[in-house]
Amino acid sequence: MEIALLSDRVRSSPQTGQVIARDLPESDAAQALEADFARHRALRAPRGGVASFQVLVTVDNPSDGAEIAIGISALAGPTGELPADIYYEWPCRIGEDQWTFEALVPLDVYRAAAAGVRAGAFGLRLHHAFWVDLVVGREAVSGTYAGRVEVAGAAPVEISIEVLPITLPLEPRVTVDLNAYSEALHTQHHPGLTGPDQIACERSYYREAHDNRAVLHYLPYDHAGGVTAGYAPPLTGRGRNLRVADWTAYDARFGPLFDGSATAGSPGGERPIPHWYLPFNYDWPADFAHFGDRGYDLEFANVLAEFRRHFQAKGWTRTNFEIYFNHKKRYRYFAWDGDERKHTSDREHFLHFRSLLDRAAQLAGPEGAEARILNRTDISWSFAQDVIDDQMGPIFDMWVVGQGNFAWTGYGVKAIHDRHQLAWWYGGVGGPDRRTMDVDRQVILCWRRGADGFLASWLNMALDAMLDEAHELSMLYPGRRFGWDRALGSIRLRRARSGTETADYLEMLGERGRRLVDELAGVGGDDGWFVPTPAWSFWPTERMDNDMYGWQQATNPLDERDPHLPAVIRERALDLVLGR
Amino acid sequence: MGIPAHRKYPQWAPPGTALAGPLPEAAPDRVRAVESRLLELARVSLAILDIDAVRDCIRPESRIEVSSDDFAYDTPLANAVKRGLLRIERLCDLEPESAVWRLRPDKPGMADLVLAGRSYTSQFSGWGGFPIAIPDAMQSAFDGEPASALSGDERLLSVFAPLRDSLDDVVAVLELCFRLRVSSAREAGLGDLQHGGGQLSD
Repeated sequence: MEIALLSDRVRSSPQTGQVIARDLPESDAAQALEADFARHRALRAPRGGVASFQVLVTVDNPSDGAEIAIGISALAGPTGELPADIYYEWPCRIGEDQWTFEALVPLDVYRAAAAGVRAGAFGLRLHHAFWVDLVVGREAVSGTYAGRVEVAGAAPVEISIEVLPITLPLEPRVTVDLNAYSEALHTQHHPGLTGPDQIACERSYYREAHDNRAVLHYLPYDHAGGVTAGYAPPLTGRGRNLRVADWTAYDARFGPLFDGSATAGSPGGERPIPHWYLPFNYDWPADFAHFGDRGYDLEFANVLAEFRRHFQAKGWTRTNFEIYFNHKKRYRYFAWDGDERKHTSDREHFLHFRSLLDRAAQLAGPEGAEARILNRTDISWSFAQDVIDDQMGPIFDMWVVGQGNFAWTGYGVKAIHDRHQLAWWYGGVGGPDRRTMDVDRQVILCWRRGADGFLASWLNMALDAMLDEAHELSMLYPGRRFGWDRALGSIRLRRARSGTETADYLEMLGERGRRLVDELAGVGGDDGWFVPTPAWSFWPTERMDNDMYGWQQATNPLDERDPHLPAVIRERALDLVLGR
Repeated sequence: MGIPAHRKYPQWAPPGTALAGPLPEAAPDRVRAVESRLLELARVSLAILDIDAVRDCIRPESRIEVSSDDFAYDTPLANAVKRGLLRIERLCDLEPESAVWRLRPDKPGMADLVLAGRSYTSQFSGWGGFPIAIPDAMQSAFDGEPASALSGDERLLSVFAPLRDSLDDVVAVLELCFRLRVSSAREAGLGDLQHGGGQLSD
């Protein structure tokens, strides 16, 4: 048996036990980082942070790895010990005959799974990988903590971590959003669960995202407007008498997310979930059978006012509760594109619904004024125009923009922030077949462009089959096959966490941070992070088409650089923050 | 003076058919009773739906193949049709799924979904499930005669009724679909999937 330690910046291969080629560092600075870790096995992390590394174990005969007795001795430091969490890295195919590791299965869960499950699609293997998280509490005392990686049958390996004299902000500067859709959790990922089991499973997905400083964002209605069971309180009455019948179940299910108690003890910090889709849509709470009449408008505004008052009474005033219309004409349910409007005639309905949001705020009065109700739009075709339009610009509180559009509309983020609105884009961090630090790259890009957050992908909850086959829609995995109806994290999700930490260091540095990124990325100032606005962006949107649009066009100056550039940026930024 | 015969709505179900009430438990009587009830509801629908709006609610440029981003409705007309479908579904205790279909001028033999009510009609539409090759019963309705179709597994019954506009042309077909028996997934209480039919949709 042989063991080796790897940094958290690379993936290895279960076929060879080597780092996969696309993750190899290229620049001197990046190679020096990896060499330094190999030589000293020393990590560092701020208070409120997590330091991670990997243990590669090569066994003498192919196995499923459950027999490997691995442990981390107590990491003793100035005033106590740091806990270590160990995960088994699950093999995932990334090409015709190429595999790496991606999903992270808690070690005890993995060992308890059936042997046939543990063999998996890859089969028994010589090379196993374990992911280790060292969680640094927000109250930890700075200094060096040291311990050992212990694997039965191999010599122990010393490891140390320096707890830095800085504390991560509780709320990351960049929000990594894990968008997901109605019903799938309970119908596709963990079917058959009911009652407390279902709630516990659901909560685990929110928690896993939060532990990694990301946000699970679960759209609770379908294109027809049907709301996922439980994601809205039951209503009673109609017209002027429509109201919430009973908040009890809704509060019990989601209240702990809104007051932050569901995140107690989380490495992501104890705090309310920052973003939440409300169930409001074209057919809830107002009855679309009356759309266009007074009753529809009053139903919508009254119930929203009730939400406002209820949230404030409960003290749930730190979550951004979003009202967003995901409906699309192409599905033949409604006559507008609430999502990604292209037709000019659709503008009118956004103005109308904004008026209903305003009416609700007025109806709620001071008793609901502190609730954060955001009018969200996901917009690309018309973004370059609407973001500076006197009529459309002010009506949205949150803009989620196609990445290409964001990149070629440099004035957009300024216009949004001048109005104190939020600017996100649709990301696309890619799957496990991409470079491991592509997630970090997106976070740093987001920060450097001044955006507030991005969607890692439009869907982030993997189906079971994606455990074995690389897929970009897979930041969270279902643990069911391992006999565990809980969410599994992933290496990319860990990188998302790391990326948000880097962005926080850069934010601490302010202008110096921007200069640092520019210098390392070879970009000459703010303009270098955007591309010119194409003339057709100002055409009537009806004349645009996908060919000119370049839907997934990405312009990330960090992309062409060393796979390890995000790590170099991170370490340099951290040194600057520490004055080293 | 009575209503002239040519202005009356057609009688498709046996006279006296109710829109609510107990149904026979056993097939085939149950199937026949459901069919009659849906036919009667289709007849009532003729008074609720603005059929000229059904005809015109898809913009002319979207009536043939067009990218999904460009598909567009005449909003006020489409909203009128949508409201009508939602109300029709509530008139009958079967709470059937409703939809209106039209012929695709650029695709002979194909029918396209104009609008769905509160959900897709389960027997003939779904995610990415339109346009469809016209089923015989739907074709009958496009030809002017209502007809019904029972799914192969006898779980779903659809009634198709012709929708004639003010020019007396059949411009669309109304489908009312009722689930005679629940599927195994529904029996398990699992509900519908957002990502239906194995396809992901944002």
